[in-house]
Amino acid sequence: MSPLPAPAVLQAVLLATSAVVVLMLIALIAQRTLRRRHDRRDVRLDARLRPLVLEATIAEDDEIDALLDRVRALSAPERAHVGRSASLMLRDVTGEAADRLRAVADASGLVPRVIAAVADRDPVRRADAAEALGLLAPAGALELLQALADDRSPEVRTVAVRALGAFDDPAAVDRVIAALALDSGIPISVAASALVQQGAAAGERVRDALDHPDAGVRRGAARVAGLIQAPGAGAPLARLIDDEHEAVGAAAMRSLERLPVREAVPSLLATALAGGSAGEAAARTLAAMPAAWSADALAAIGAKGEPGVRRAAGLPRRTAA
Amino acid sequence: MSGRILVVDDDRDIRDLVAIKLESAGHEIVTREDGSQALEAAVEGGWDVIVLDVMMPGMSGIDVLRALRDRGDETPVILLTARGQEKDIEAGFAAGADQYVTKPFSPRALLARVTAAIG
Amino acid sequence: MTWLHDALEAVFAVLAWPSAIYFLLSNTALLVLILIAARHFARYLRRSEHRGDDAMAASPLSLGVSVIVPAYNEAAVIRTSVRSVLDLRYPDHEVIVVNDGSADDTMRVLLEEFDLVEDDRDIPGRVPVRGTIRRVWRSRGGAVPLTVVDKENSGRSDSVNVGLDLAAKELVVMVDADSILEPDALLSVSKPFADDPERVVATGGVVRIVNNSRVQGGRITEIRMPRQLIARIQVVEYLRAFLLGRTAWSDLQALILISGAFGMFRRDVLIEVGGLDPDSIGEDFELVMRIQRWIHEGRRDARVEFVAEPVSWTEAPSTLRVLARQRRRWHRGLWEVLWGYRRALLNPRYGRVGMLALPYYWLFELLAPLIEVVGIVLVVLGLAVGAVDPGMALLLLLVSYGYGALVTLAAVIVEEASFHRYERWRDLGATLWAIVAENLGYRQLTAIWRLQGWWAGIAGTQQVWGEMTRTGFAEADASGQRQADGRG
Repeated sequence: MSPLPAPAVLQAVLLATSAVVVLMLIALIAQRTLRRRHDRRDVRLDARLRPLVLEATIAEDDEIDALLDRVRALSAPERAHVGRSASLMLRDVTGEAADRLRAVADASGLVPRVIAAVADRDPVRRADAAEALGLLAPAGALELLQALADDRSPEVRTVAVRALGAFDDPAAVDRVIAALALDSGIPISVAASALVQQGAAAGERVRDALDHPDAGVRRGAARVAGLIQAPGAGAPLARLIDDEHEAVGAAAMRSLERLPVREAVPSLLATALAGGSAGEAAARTLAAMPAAWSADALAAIGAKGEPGVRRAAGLPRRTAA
Repeated sequence: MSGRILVVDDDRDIRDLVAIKLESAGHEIVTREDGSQALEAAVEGGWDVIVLDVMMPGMSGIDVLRALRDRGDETPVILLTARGQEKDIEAGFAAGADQYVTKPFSPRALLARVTAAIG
Repeated sequence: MTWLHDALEAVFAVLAWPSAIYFLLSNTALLVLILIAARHFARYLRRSEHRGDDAMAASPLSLGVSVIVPAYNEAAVIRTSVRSVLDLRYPDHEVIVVNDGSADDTMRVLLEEFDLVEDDRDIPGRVPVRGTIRRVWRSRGGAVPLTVVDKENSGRSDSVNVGLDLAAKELVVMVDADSILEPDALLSVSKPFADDPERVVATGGVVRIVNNSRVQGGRITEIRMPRQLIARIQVVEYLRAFLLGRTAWSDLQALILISGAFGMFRRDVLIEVGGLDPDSIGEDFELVMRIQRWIHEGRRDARVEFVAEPVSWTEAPSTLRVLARQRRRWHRGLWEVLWGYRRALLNPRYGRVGMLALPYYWLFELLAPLIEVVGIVLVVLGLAVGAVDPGMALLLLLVSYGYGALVTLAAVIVEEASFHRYERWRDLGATLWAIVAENLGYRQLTAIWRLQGWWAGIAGTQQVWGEMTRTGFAEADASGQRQADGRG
């Protein structure tokens, strides 16, 4: 084994290391300087343009056109800033103020850019476009979002389905329900939340989806039915407690807490006595029901249930025998 | 009828959106951006309504409200809560809130509540 | 003395190349991890526009979370701490405070502050626990989702297990009563569970150093760089090892360590593996390894993920004494867990955990202080007897620390490009000085403490750390306890 490399080699390594360190320091400082300059420019633009955007939110019908003309007359970077500010504020408001902000974003030239981005090759851009379409809701947004909900990238599909939650058109509801399927690549929480957002408009279609052949759709629909008080969902939910997929049963039991039906009691009792987390969920659902329906079942759990299930049913500790 | 209104939210956009709407209706608006500043301003008194965000760093809106009611201050308070945070609404009413508005909010509806609160 | 001279020369002849290669590999491995983390952040930040965090915060469908807060002699902070946990931004969470037989007023404060009534519901008993429960309380009429368990003293881990047994939600998270949480902590850390509910079983988030930042009502209101050098060095250390290191391991799907100060787990999985091990010193590390064993031995399609969002803030040791105790404890814990799970090492069944992460931890974490200390001793001896050329020694030292600083600087650049939490120019200066200062004494000292911890682990000594109840730490200043527990 030879001794360590010659001092000359080490010196060269040291020099190279130092050079890289110096370059990195320069990069670090440049990075920070640039970011600060950019931030300062943003602050200046904001000071000038923010009042315009804010004013639009309270503008009367006869004032808004003049304001929009002012937006259209701005320079390109200014319009970009206005578009960004309006989009951010759109997350905070609803109603008339939101309509005004959408008009401002439109006047800033944002909409054509968003629509162009729908066909971008980069999935991140397409996902951003889907998000913006949901917020800005320009004419044709629904169709574009439906198309994006079938995008090849699961990321884009996810954002598109979430954005569809803002539309209560039957076609939007159907698309969101389809996104609950097990192989959709879209998290169930996203699709189900979109359905909740669609609310009453989704009611009947959610009820019908309780009998869907896909377990994911049944599960999502079962989870949402109680939250949106889907009409006529009680009986199908009671059937789903014994679904072949445990997750479907769990979702149905959650909904039955809010949408109690008496015919669910026998299945709930059997599930509760079988124990485990499903048993606990069943016990919780029983405990949430009118006492007249559940009294016998709770007594049976009191006598035969395992401790975790008894706790979930709100039953006290057994006194030591 | 116009009033003096304290608007508290840590989000600048919301503060400005609320302020411009209420100002347009002729109210006098003072804004604060966190709980402890808000409590300080609220304690000074002279407010017709306080519009208070629940979720703020440091002292939350509920804490401010509680402290205010503990001092016997009965100024009408309208809470701004995020959608999906129903427990904030429960806690808010328990702490003595008069009204709540969920975010995203409609500035018009908020103005109507403020007007009603001023009476 | 010639025999010593000759012996040392022989030793150097044998060890020179291996140690040079070791050092090169160790730093290069770290650099690679940092680059992987950088790529991960770049992807993550590009998606900030459409991640839908607000939608999740508002969704009634978010998975429920039980937050377990073990408390031992926390009377001073318990009120603020429970309030701030109850106030976290999340649609569905409950709080379970476990009073671990406190000798102070913790229990009285809780009863006074929160309107509690006795909860006589049955106790599931699915998790093995030691401490006897005295009474369980809950908020009157369920006004706030709060349960308080009063039990006999049995240590932090056992207290967490008691809380786990009573937890009712799908996910559980354990936090220390004195840690400061970000308002969005539950949202950030639960996001992977929502995105992939079938596979994600555990997640962790970034723990940052709170020293000298402004805190009010249990929340950070202004982030500042710590004033003391010793804490500043730890800021850099945390950045490199915890933020970037863990992000990279998570990206490689080989994460084996989640901070004990804030880890989130699927409740059913945590119950199945039996909760925390009350006898382990590195109980958080041990738990994640046990979950990894559960995944790999059971051939399950499951994942442990790290979230690069800050979730909690912890007070870093600001004195050498406390720092020494923390590092001894960490290294002892590291040794015990690595040794306990030695069967997983280089075991193909464990995938990247066994083939990549564990070898890395053995080689570059566990062994590092030994190699560092032996190296220093040999070089100093060699210099004394003239077996080492002083010029050469200096050159080697400069090269090694230069490369180490380069790697750390890379970490700082990644932070600057992504989260840039410390905004002032002064903070940047402080960071750069900390990088230099880390090499001048700090590394060497921590290496010695880590060796001591390792030795204590091998010797199995009980007297220094004793049974790991929290009582064992109550003697020191309050922050010492927290630091000893906070595995960053």
